[in-house]
Amino acid sequence: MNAQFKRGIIELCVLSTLVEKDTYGYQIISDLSQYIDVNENTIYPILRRLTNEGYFTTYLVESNEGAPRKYYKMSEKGFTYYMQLREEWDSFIGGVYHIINQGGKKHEEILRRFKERIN
Amino acid sequence: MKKFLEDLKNELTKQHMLEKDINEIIADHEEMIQNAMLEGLSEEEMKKRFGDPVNLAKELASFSTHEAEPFNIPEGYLAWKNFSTLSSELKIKISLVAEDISVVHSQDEQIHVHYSGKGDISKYTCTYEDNELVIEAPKMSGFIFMKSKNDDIQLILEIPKSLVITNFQINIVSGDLYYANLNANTLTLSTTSGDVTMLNAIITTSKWNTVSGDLMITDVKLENLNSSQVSGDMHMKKVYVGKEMKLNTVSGDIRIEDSLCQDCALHSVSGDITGMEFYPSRVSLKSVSGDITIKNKNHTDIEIVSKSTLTGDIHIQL
Repeated sequence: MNAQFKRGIIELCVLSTLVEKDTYGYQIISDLSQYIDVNENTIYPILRRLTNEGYFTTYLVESNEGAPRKYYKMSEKGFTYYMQLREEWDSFIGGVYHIINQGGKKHEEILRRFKERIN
Repeated sequence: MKKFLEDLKNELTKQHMLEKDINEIIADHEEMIQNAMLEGLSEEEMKKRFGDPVNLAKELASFSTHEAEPFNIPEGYLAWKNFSTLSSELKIKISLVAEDISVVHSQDEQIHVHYSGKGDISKYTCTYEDNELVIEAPKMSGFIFMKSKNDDIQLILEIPKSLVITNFQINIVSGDLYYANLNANTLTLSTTSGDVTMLNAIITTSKWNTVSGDLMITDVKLENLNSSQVSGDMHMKKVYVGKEMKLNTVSGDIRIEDSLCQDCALHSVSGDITGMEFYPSRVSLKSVSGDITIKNKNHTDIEIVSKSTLTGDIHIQL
């Protein structure tokens, strides 16, 4: 997948996670990689960049299992940005689905109609 | 994973990132690696999850502040003067005619002046007394345009970053000025036909007067700026003015990108002024026949104190 495009989507996923709860870096990586193919190389720079831009703040929480963890917390500014990104994404992906599903969703059905047309 | 951290640190250093950022990034990664180990990930799984440290460093460097690139003295330059500094403050006064000058940060704690060109350097003045550095071109007999190619001089002035430049005054007729990676309390600049490039600087108060030379200003923070130009163009990028910014132009064009300021006064006779992603809090606009355009993606409140034009167009698109 186009790297720039993928980065935008993952940025939205990171923001979505932090809308729900404050959490630490590794937890975000671990959570997201359950559902999508993504690694630290993509997620950490997003966390850092959005923190630099004031979308997240950070604080340390002592851990029983080792060093303290850096928790990320979404700011008001981050929330506004999230809503804007989400709206763009919804309208974009809505449009994409409309285009690709014009001929129906089922693969067999798409294939059958394509075969019919080229024969 | 020890190697991952080492490679990451080396690559971040190579990318000229600031030491405090490097330390923070390494600490974050130590924490994340420890958490991954607690989750019971194998070395193989860890490698996959953390990916390539070189790519990571490049990505991080792409949006971070960088250590000022060391300025390498180009070939052909000779050392002229070196001064050990006696105080933490410095005043600079430069007056030149057709000489180009670069003012940059020094690699050590000394002031260095280098020169190149066929001109006779012994006719030039360069002194450092009472915490004031003075560089002067010889008094000219005859007209400037009679100067031949045989007496050209280019200068490089290196100032230690630890010095506070309290007052910097520079007058050049046709030579160019390159000013980078240095901060100053007050900077007064005056050129006739020479071009000015200013990069990565923090300046409290600045006043610029140019006639036909162009100005390229990038990554500069100021408190107050007062600029006046006749026919030269100005291009500002990432300029942050804390208080007041006054720009006057007769026929030169002004382009302002990714910049912001508190109070802004833009005056033009026939030059065009264009702001792209330019966010002043309050603005007053005046033109005779030049166009003034501000085009921003984000909607923010810009208070328009006054606007007037005779035959130009004033467009503010937010």
